[in-house]
Amino acid sequence: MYADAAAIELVSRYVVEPYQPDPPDPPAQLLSAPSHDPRIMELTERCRSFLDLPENWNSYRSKRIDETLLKDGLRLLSMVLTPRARTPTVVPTARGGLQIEWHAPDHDLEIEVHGLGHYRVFHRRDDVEPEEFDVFDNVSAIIPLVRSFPA
Amino acid sequence: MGEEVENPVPAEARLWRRVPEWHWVPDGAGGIRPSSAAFKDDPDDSPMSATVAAESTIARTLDPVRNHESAFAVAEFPAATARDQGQRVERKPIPNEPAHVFVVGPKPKRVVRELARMSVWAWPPPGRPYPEHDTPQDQRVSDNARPAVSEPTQLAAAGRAAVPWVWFVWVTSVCLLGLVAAWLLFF
Repeated sequence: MYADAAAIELVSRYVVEPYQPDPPDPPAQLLSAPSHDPRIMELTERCRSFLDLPENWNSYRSKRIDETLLKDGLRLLSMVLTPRARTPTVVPTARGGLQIEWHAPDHDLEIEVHGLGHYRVFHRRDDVEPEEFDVFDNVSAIIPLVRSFPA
Repeated sequence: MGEEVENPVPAEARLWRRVPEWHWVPDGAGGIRPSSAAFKDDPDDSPMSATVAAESTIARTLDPVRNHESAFAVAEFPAATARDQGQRVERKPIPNEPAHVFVVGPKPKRVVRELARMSVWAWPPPGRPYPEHDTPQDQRVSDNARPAVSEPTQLAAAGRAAVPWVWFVWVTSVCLLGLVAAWLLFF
């Protein structure tokens, strides 16, 4: 009798509560609110693909990409990417961050998201000395550099 | 370090580094170049890896990434550029790659940007298909161009070269058949 009860309990457990696979993770919300700028949406989609990169994606022991750094990079872009500025290229970094780049034959601007609110900026023009500096939260120093790459 | 002293990487050497497709960026002049992000030290603070081009092959350099989902190209830059940027180039042979070196030194953006700027493609995007084996055309030292003729193009060229021969055989056969027919008809 005991065996029957145990069998019934076992069967009922799986009949009443059949196995349900875990639901897939929802797509990461990289933007706090949808952007009206199609360029930002396009860059967001590219950044979303970075989240699928496995460890060692660069074959030199790179880390997986940190979602919080992606969000911070996109937040920065939505603040500095004015309508008249050129759309940049975004690339993942081996340390799991994000780098935003504008290039012209005689002009380069690179912004690396080092940490939340911490950006390393490199700017080079043929006619001036290259400059490299850190920005913490206050992005006003970046905006004129971005505007110097017209669309 | 001992090996570095005994067998230093020559001043004129050129170095190869794999660049994943995620680090191919527009150069602003209609081309594609490696991002400076491809020339950083490893996340575990190991120095940047590279191989001595003259002592390796593209096929061997790409061997570790044949099963990667992403595509890879190979960038080539002068060892002298690295040294000019305060880097040391130290031999560090590893299994399957005796030409492996470390590019040692601090790498602020100014340095990695210069390495990217001075790079050319030893194996350009789109990367795939990779060379299968260490064939002679792969034994390139400073020839920066990908093999000028890709495999499908070679096949097409072979096809074009075969066309005159096909015509010759076909016309000859028709003429011979005509002669035989005429001989049978009249004699």
